[in-house]
Amino acid sequence: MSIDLSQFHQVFIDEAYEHLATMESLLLALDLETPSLDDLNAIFRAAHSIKGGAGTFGFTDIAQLTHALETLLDRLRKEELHPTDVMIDAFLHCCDLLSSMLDVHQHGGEVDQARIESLQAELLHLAEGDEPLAEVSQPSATTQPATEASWLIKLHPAEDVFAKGASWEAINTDLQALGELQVLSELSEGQASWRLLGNPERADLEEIFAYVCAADEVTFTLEETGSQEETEDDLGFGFFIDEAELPAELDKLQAEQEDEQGFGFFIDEQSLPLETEMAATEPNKAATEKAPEKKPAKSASSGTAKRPATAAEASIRVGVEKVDQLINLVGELVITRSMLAQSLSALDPMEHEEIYSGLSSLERNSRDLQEAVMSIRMMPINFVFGRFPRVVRDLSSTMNKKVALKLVGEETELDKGLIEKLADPLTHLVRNSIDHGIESPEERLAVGKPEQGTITLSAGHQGGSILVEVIDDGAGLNRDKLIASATKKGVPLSENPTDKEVWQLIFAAGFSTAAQVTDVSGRGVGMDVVMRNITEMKGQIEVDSEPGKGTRISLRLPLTLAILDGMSLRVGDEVFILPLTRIIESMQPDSEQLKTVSGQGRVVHIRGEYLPLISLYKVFNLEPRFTNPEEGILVVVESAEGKLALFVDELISQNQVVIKSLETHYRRVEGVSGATIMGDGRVALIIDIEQLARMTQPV
Amino acid sequence: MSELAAESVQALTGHQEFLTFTLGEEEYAIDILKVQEIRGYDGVTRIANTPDYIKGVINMRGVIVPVVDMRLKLQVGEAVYDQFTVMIILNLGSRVVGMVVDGVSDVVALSEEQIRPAPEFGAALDTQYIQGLASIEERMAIVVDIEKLMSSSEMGLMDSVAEAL
Repeated sequence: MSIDLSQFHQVFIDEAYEHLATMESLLLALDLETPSLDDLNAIFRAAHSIKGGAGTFGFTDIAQLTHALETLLDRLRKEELHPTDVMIDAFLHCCDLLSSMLDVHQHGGEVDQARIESLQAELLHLAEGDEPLAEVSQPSATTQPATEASWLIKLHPAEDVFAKGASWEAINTDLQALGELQVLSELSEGQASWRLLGNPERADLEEIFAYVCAADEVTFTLEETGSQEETEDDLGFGFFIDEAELPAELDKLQAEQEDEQGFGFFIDEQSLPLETEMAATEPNKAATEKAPEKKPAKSASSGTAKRPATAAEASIRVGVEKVDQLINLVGELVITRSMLAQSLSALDPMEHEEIYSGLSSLERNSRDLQEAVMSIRMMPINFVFGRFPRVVRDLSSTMNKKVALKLVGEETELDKGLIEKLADPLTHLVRNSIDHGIESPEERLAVGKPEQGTITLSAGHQGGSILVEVIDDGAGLNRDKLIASATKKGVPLSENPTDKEVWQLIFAAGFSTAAQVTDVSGRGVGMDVVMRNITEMKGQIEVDSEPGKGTRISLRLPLTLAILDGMSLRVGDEVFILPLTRIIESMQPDSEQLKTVSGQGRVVHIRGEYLPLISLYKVFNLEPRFTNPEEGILVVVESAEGKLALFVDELISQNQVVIKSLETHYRRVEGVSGATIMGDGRVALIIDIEQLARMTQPV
Repeated sequence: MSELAAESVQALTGHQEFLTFTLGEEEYAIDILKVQEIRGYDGVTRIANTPDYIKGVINMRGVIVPVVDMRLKLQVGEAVYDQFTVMIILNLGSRVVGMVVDGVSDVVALSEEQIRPAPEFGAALDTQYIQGLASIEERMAIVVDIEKLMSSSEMGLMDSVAEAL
């Protein structure tokens, strides 16, 4: 009888990745001066969970590395050592390595063994660190070479497992494969004991017995010549302990275990001895230091009890397509409801009071449902921001700059689809800020700025959109350099460009003013890609810079891609939707405001500005009710190329519309970004203001 | 169900079922498995700057589907829109298209022998979209490869490859 553990591998790997991510973010947030004990405990727990899982599933390499990690962490959280920058670096490398090891286990490939070993050695070296006095209890143990260890194995099952089909020979063969085996007491009534010389992994031993009996029915004790006393003293899991004491010990452990995060399926039993005995189980010096301590697990549990519950734990994984499907269905429901409302509007409210009250509660419920479903897609922007502490740390150290990262508004929520697309552009911008923006510490000191530069990533709601900003307090953009570079590359530029126009130059393809190309930036690709990505998300970029003070790059993004706040308007018989966020105002012009330019194009004069007038009926080739703008309505909208005045027949209402693709069954249509379904079941086209502006530009 | 039934008919008899419809004086036949439903012509939203035969888009239970008037495309019959105008909703693989015709007549089973190759003739429809001619009780029906026709660049219903790049 064997259980196929591989079916749980994916769960383990997923969880391990999560733990790694937690560890990394906690490590980066760790204040080296006054490290929070809670954080250290949380990091320790993450490492410990990975180790436990790795041990259970036989990923010994991962278990070993995390064990080394844990050893150091354990000393940190007990405040025996003080965390240093070097340690954090080692931890971060360790996280990277572990994640590549997980990847190897999942998809196959090669792990750099040398790297693992050197890192493991480094961690252990660090763990040895400044040895606190009280803890150096067993010098004999710490100096004992690991190879002289031997394992004492005692099997004491509740019932005769051999009578039930377990094979004595098979166990012996398996054990022999691991090292030199001495049978101490032969099989009698299912009980037996062995001594195994050599230095096998505890996990290997456990694996052999995993199929024979329950984890608490077999004990493994590490014996080291000269240090036998202490290991046997260890928490009572040993050869010499009276069996009657075992249940009591177990209960105590169980209680502590409950404070730990439950790991996986049937790990509990196995991790029990692991948790308390680990110090003694693996033959390395730092760990054996822990062994003589009578209650290592106690202190761990007092720390774990305080662990703050994070939102991630109470979550489930759901495929994005399922959520999208839900959103579509709710969209349908909203449409159906408004159809129903429209067809019932003919009824007399007095006679059909119940229908009306039912309808209004349907409206309320469907709106709540829509909001709830939309919120599933919403994620805090921290999912993108969270990666930057690492990026900034790594980049600033490679470039010998001192940069602090400030995050503002990480909890701002936006559509998951947007969040994913935001990661790349933001990385580009942050890299640029570090490379080009922030000066070297010497330069900064020379101009009287603090040595450490600051990059601020902020996110927040503004109107109907999300504003994400990357702000640095570096040198700012150099206007003259940009203009010179533009002339050299033949980028068209007006004679007396405004600052805004000059700053926009950085988004031109192939544009770079960097004196030298680094591996980080300066090749002139990047900013144009950023621009393209943001435009694809229907967002806008603004640059603001002041020489010597810094640069601020603002990304303005729609809240979500799936739903749009729109103004519905009528031209002839057709209804169109304008994105509400782009509308500045609407007005009925009088004849004095309307001017023609060279008898052709028309402009409208609004408060000192001349805006091009675009007649939607001409663009969309329709029969309008009014051809004279004085009779209809002008809607002033904002586009990247400036303001435009759109001439329409009438405005209908403001509504939230579900954006549907035209391309699924048809194709792209000029001037239209998508379509939606109105309350009466008809399709209305959503106007793409940017395209409209380009379409109507005189060639 | 209907798909299964149609397939088993074909398997048993070597016959394939076709939906026939009229456009002006002519009768056309298309593979019934490509037909999703038949409905009235209603609620079409115009799309600007498209050929006249693309009538616009409709809402098919939340999906936005283009509508083509075959009478205008093939220049047969008279393009009038009233309560009798019918639209055949075609399901072509991943795409759904509505097709306006003069009238839907019948469902017929045709064996392969009954479909004869079409001669080269100067019809409104390019012969590459015509599978053959079939005679049904003294009448002649033009069997159209509707999927090929609707996905052709000539119809302009899809972004062409060049445009997509």
